Amino acid sequence: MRRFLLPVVVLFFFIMESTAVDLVLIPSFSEDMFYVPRFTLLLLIFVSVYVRDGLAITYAIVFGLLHDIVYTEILGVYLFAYPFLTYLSGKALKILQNNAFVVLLVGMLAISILEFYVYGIQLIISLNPLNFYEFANRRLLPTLAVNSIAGLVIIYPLKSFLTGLKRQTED
Amino acid sequence: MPPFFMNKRLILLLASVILLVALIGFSIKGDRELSWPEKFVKDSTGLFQTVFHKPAQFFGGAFEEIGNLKDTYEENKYLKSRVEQYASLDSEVQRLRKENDRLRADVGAKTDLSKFEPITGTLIARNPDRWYEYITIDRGKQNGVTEDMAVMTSKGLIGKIKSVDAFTSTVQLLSAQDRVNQVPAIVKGKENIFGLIAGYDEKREMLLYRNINTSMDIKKGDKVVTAGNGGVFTSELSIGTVEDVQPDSYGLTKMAYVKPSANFYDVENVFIIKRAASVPPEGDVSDGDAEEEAK
Repeated sequence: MRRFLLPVVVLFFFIMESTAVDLVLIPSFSEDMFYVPRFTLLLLIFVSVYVRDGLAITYAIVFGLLHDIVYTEILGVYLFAYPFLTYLSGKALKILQNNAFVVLLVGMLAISILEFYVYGIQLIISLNPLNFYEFANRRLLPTLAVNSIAGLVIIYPLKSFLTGLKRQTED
Repeated sequence: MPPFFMNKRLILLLASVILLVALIGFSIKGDRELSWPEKFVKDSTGLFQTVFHKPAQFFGGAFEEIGNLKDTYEENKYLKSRVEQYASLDSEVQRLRKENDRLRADVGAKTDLSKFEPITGTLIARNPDRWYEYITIDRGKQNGVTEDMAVMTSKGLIGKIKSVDAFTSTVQLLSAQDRVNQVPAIVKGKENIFGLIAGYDEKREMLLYRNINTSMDIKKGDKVVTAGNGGVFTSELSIGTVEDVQPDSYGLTKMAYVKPSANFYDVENVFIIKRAASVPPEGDVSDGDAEEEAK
């Protein structure tokens, strides 16, 4: 039973993204500000820190592909980005000390890299993309704000859950 | 040189970059049909999304309702004044409908581009990265949805069906930036003016209405509706109102900013518009249609 717990949790966060973006309105944001929930990526980074990074990369590949298929129908964008960022963050946190604050900071860094990367792809394939100023103001900053708050809320419960999971699998 | 290429991770990275470019190139091909594994995955996640979205929406709705309670008194007063007009309007509609039917019978018109059967559906998910304005709804092939059908809320047109799976389908909103995201539309000024809704100005949050002849008279406040002769859409679906008219980037045609009547960010229940008039087979739509009807 325990084996299925982690996939279900990751799937929960994956689907939460699409529900949150539709239903949760942040009061002080104006209408033209977009935030992108990146809970799955945060969770994957937590998994790579608190459980095993090999496992996290496997999950990253699966959920990256799932994201591509379900949400954008353009294959390859997240399939590449999720494993790559999870791998890098995992490596970075091996070197840095991994207290919750540093983990969140690296998570935010990963999210900003992801936003820039997706923006770069949009610049190439989109008809009239946002200019850089608009991108930074209307997308990047709200996204970072929302995700850092969400990260603060979820990191402690998830930390205890994931370390508990690790202990059980090692027994 | 050798140590550079011996690095296994680097090779892996390069290989995945090549794979990424190839996959993206493959996916953005305009007329790509989803393969069955993709449809299967979308359907199964659609099931989970429905399960999650319903309770979330319930709680979200409860909060919203408490907020609404504050305005109830004002609203009630306004609505009461409207109800009085309603009765007279209703009888007028009845009369016009009868007259219309009679005239139609006289002319012998059989097909009506504005007739449709609505399929009601509910939004179950929205694409979290807002680069693509896609939403997922809980109606699919099993409910009679096919690609390119118009989708609207009670206020107006919001988009068209992009891809269909067995139990869910993906809607491309009018605000999506896509070369092929075009809807033939009419501006109802003094005369009908044909053009295309093509593109969205994100800064002003308005749709762009293109291909208007410079001599055409088009004003702020004119209503914009779908044309219905572009294939599968029915006619007379409300899109929005004209806000501003400007010359196009080449100066040959004019371009109008259209304020959409539906809110793209507050979508809950949608109608998928199934046209009653038969849909012409692909490749059978002659180019001269729009001009002919404009006369």
